[in-house]
Amino acid sequence: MIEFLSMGKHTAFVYTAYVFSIIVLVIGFYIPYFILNREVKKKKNENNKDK
Amino acid sequence: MNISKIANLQYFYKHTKNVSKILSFITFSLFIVGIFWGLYIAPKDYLQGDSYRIIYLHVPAAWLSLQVYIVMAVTGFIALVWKIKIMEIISIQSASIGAYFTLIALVTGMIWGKPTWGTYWVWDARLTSELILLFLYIGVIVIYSSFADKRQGAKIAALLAIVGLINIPIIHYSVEWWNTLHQGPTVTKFEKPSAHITMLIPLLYMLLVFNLYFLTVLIKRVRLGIFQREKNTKWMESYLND
Repeated sequence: MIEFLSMGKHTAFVYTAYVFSIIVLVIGFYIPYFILNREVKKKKNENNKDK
Repeated sequence: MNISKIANLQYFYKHTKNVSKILSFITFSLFIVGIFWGLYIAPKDYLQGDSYRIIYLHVPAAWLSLQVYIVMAVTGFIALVWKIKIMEIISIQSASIGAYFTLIALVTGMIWGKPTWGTYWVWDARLTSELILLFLYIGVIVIYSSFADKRQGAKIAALLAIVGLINIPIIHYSVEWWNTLHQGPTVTKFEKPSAHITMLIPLLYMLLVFNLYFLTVLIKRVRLGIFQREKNTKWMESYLND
C-alpha cells in the first residue's frame, strides 16, 4: 500500500500540492453554500418575528 | 430554453437549486476519478519522475484563471453597457472563483518548481504576470466590497476588470515574447503536442472537471448574489414563505 502511494523522492511535493488544491477547492465550493443557508435562515427568522 | 428567462433573477434563483445539486454531485464524482487518474494511473515521466503529476492540477487551474477572468471582464462589460443585472452578479461572483484558481496555479507551480527548477519562485514574466492576475482579482473583490451601493461598486469593479484584460495576452504569450524559466506551450500546440497521449488525456479530463467546478460554484454564487440583492423584494419574501 505504501509502495502504491509512494512518489519516490517527490512524495511530499506531490501530496502537498494535491492536498492544498483540494482544500482550496472544497472551501471555494462550500463558502457560498454556507453563506446562502445562513442568510436565508436569518431572513426567515426576521420574517417570523415580524409576524 | 429562452435566454431572457435565465437572465431574469427570479427565474434563475427559483430554477437553479436542483441544477446546482446535480452538478455538484457530477463534479465531485468526476473530480475523485481525476485525482486518482493523475496520481496513480497516468505514467511516470521519464525525466521529471512523479513530480510532473502536479500539472494535473496546476495546468487546469492556470487555464481557468485566465478563462474566468475573460468571463468576468466580458460579463462586466455587458453589465456596464446594457445594465443587465444578472451579468453584473456573474461578473462580481466570478472574481472569487478566479482568485481560487489563480492561487492554486501559483502555489502548485511553486511546489513543482522546487524539485524541477531548484527554486520555488523566480521573477520571470509568466510567474509575475500570473501574480498580477491574482492582485487584479483581489482588487475587483475589494473594490466591490468597499461600496455601500453595490450597483455602483459593481460598475467600478467591472471597469477594473476590463482594464486588467490587457494582462491576459501578456500571461499567455509571456513564454514566447520573453526568455522565461517557465516552459513554453505544451498542450496548445495542437498540431503536435509535446505531451504523450497517455499523459494528455487525463490533463484534458481535468480541464473539463475544472470547467464543471467553475460552472457549479458560479451557479451557487450567483444564487447567493441574487438573494443578497433581492431578499427584501415581494417575490423573494413569498418564495421563502412557500
